[in-house]
Amino acid sequence: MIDLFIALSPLLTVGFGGLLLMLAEALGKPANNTGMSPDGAVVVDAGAGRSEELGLLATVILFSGAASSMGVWLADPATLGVELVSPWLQVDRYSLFFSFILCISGGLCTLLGGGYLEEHKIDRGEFFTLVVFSTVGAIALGFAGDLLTVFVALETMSLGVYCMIGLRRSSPRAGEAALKYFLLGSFAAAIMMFGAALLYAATGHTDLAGIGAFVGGLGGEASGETAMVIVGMLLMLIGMAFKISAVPFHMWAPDAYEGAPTPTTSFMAAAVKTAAFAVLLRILLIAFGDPRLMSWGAGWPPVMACLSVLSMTIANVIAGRQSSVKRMLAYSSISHAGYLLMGVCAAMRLPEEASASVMFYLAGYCISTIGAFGALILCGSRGKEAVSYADLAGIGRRHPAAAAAFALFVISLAGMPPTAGFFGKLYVFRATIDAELYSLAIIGLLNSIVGAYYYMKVLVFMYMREPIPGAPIAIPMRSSMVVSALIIAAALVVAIGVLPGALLEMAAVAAAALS
Amino acid sequence: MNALRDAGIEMIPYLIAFVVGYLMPWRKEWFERFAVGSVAALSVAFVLGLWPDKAVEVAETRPEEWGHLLNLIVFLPLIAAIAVVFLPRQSPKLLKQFTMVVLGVDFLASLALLGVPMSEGWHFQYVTEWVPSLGIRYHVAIDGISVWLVLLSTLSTPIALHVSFGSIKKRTKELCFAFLMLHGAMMGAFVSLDLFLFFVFWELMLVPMILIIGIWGGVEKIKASYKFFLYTMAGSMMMLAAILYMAWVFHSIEGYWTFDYLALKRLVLPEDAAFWCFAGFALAFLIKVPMFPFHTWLPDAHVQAPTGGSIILAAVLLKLGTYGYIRFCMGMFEGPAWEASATLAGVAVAGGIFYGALCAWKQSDIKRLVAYSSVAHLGFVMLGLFSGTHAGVSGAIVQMINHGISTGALFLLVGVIYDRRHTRQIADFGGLAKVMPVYTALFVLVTMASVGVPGTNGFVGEFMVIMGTMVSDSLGRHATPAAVGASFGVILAALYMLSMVQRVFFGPLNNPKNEKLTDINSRELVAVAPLVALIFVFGLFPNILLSRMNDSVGATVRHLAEGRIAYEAHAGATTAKLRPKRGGPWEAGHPSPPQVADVAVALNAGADK
Amino acid sequence: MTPGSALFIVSAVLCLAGAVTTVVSRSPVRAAMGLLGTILGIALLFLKLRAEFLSAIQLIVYAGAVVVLFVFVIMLLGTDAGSEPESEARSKIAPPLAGGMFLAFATALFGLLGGAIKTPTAFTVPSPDHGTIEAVGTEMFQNTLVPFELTTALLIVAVVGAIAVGRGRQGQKPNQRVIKNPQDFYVGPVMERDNVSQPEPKESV
Repeated sequence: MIDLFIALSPLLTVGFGGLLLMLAEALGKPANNTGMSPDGAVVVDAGAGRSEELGLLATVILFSGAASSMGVWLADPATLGVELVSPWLQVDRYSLFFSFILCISGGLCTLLGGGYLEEHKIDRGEFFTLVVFSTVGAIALGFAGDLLTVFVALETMSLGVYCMIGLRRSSPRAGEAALKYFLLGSFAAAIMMFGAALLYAATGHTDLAGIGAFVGGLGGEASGETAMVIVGMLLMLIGMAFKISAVPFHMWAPDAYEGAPTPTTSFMAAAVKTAAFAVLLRILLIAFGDPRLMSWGAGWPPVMACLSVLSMTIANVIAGRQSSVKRMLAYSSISHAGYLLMGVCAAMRLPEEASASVMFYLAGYCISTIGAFGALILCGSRGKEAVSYADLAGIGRRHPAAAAAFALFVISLAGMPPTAGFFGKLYVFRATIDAELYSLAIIGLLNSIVGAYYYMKVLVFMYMREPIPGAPIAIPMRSSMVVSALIIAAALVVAIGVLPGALLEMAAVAAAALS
Repeated sequence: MNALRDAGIEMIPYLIAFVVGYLMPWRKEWFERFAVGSVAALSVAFVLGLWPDKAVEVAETRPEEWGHLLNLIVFLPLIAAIAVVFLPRQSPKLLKQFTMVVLGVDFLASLALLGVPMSEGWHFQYVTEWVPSLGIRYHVAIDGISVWLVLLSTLSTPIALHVSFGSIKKRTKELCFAFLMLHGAMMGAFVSLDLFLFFVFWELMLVPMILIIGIWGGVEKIKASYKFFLYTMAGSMMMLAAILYMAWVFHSIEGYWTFDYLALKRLVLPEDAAFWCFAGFALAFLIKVPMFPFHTWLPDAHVQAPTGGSIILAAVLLKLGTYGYIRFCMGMFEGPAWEASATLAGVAVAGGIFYGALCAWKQSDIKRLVAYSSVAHLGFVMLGLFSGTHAGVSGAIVQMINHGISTGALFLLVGVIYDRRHTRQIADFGGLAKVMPVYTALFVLVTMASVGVPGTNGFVGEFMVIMGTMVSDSLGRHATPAAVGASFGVILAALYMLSMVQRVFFGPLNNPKNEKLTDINSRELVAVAPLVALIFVFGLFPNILLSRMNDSVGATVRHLAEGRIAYEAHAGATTAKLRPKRGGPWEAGHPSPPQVADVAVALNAGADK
Repeated sequence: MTPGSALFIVSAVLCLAGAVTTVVSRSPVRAAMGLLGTILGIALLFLKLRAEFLSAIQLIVYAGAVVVLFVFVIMLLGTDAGSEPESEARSKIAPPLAGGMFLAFATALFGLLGGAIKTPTAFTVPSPDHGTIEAVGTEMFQNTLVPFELTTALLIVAVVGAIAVGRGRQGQKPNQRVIKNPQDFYVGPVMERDNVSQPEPKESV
């Protein structure tokens, strides 16, 4: 039994850490400047004014989660009696890889949050609790091996994110963003639920392996079950596509990303997407891994290919036309979903190599995108947030360190050496070419040229343009927490970019554990 | 006890990181310090976990050659670039001195490359695993071709930077960073023998160069840097697709992954695939050269870039295109390169030599004129390469070096008057010979070299290219027209260069603003002197160049012919095959299949299905 | 038509009609009643499936507690709270388009699944006591213990999130009301006499 607790320790560490965080928030001594709202009224607001402490605690909790994921990875989860919780939670190296990435991403987001919330006077302790518990949901999503757990975990993750978006009550945009995401997200969950119900009706199983076995046992002729499985699968995929914000299910993403407080945005862009990809790959390869469903004729590859091409092309074209950097990053994260879906497509022929490439890409993408949002946070301050390109004009001179960090992350997102994004892109394209999906790979490469254009625009504004005289400029903020998040992220981006070997091998081992 | 001590030693980096994090000055509470320290230690653990634990395996190096020399040349500037980030912005003098010293050491180190005769085979080879699971190796070496390009770069970069320090006073830190980064990346690209490594360095050059154009450039600098960036990016993406495809084909034949040039060179692809891969590589290189019709980024980039940037661009960056064509297109796709050479030679003569020259003739801006003259000169280089003959290829390489020297010097000299007058319009000048005699003399000398007057280096290269084209097999019946056309191109070059010199330096001095111009100063003289000296050294004693590149060019031409025969013998096949190993010094450092029981096997297991 | 299928049709119609009412109606009370209809329909469906326990739970929790809570809140805020004037920019084509797409989708779904619905091969007839408290309890606390435990995280997130979103707008709205005495919790005068004895609550600046 104790083995089992060790095996589940990533989940338990983060979960109990979240409870600890709530206690710390409630019982800790309030900072001096709280207890009184500006107009003199007493507000009972235990977490207010302590976002730095709470953020740091949350970061420690999440990084301990990452460390315990690593520990379980090294201890080999297969020997830890994990079949007791199977198939609800599949503790294998695949899910541990994801829980590692998710904890790191969550930890970086809470570090960003610690600085951002204080600066922008929305220092609310709930934020950190929500991040931690959303991460619990995300980790559970990576672990999930049953449609029931998938649903519960997905809702846990999403519900936290909806609330994190709406945290800034004074901003109508945030409210709009939260509502939009909430409605569309619930809609997607309902569609997924419908798909799950159809799958259950057809196969009598909710566990993915059982569905996979049933589908494998179906005869070749068109039966009612086949139709139900296919429709159920499509509905599930639609639900997933919402979560990873693939075109045409991306409508919510730019508004939600832009309206949300930036640390939330980075959490959405990194952790939510990663968890959704974790479960997407598992569902596709375990439940729908039948050769007939992995072919171009009938099955998910054409759907994924369409989503991929649409996401890359449309998001890249629109991103190039944005004047807001935050919105550009939102579209860029949609286009990255497109590249990732390309790798998912490649899994039809080379499940292991392709899923390893997707996992490696996700690791690099998460850190880069959190870093980019973090640099954007650092470039602005309260009331003078950096939003548009014009706000960034001349940052290279006013705040060279922030600009250099931003440049590094943007270069990584554009997939240029010596960064993690470069190897991720390379690996995904390699998998696509190896799977003989040449036209998809060419479309992807052409898209990365388009992508390079708008990423370079950031460099151009930061280093080559000066602010228009008299125009309001973003004033860089000071926060040791944001800075330390950026230092960690930059170190990781460069380290993975220069020495990708170990992480590549981890991804390969993790992908091998999937099948 | 020993185990305990080892564990203690292993803990040291984490402890250091923890202590550094703990002592960060901005925290008060102990638990905050503790948390920051833990985070730092965890990051170190992560980075150390990424470190490849494979033992370094060095290929057989020749005893007289120090295996790490190329590593030194490549990584010294890159490490110095990172060091520059941490130097204080407030003391430009320190930054300048540091950078110049690094570049000087790099130049001296590269001179050591000349210490050995460039006999058959690779020299100063160094091989080690980089990303074993993907079959990526760090494999660097030079031969008689690349050694000259390395030397050209190590010479031009300090000169360009020296010139830049004269005219650029702002943002010295970024300038030093960009130049060091660019220099290291260029060095790396010239010496890489792993396609992947080459691609990394190739991409790494982009960002520093756009920074140089975009930060210190002229009025239209942003447009020019976008143009440069997107053109190059477009080319390199297609090259990446071709690289990945070839590695995949190699893997499906041999069963292991490698991106090594020597291994992929052995592939004989079926016609379609060979053509597309060739096209992918050729596009990347021809954009970089640049060859008509992809040349439109060049005049903008040259005109907008600061003088130092133009020098680097002309002297080294464009050479990466021609070098890449020799090394990779002619080295790996012998058949398609042979078949395409007649067509491409026609484009080089008509679109490069003629069109470039005519465009240059009509320019009113001196720098733009020199930029178009680059297009014409590189037309010669490409023509020599397409000819596929020993004389043609040697001439092309000599011409690459010459173009780097003489066009670099021209840009430098144009920069001199631009710094004084802030205009480059030919019409603004006239009769400068009266006020700037030394400058005029230098300019005329360099112009002579650029035109190709006998006795200067330009003559040797152009002559050899034309000779080589005349006897070329690959051009077939187009050989003679191409050679004749190229000869006319030489006349055109004289026409546009000399008419420009005439209008700028001679005639009446009728613009009063020009009367007060000061002659070239000592800083500029120091910069241009080595280039002018080299013009004559290489013009009078071309054998210095030719003797060292002879074996390598011979091998290139020989392998081209052999590869074409293998390709033609393979015609009509639908699958790729692997040419048997040639053996000998040109395949030293060929990758061997990895040992089994490796994690990489897990990675590749899926691909075997 | 057997009584069983008649019950199914009645409850299904009740569900759908209730759902449509909830979405379409402009009056919050009517919407709440529509929701109640849906919930009753679902409870009936559970009965039809011989899941008496779930049916009862459905009635107690949803009809008894949730809907009552809704109605209570609606009454507290006034029935017209939150109703907005006719929105100005209403797309003419969006509703029919959405409806058309939904119909097409539903038709396609039924077309695809028409054959399948009759032949569920993956199931056996459940035992008659599958809907009892014991059966549900065994299922929940033994077989699906892990997802059940996972829902604790979901509930925590829901509670914390509700607090985060519902509470605290410190220092944002310039004309925020200051709560100094208990009466100020209420929007209007609590009783007629309060209007006289109590001054209007101050608006802070």
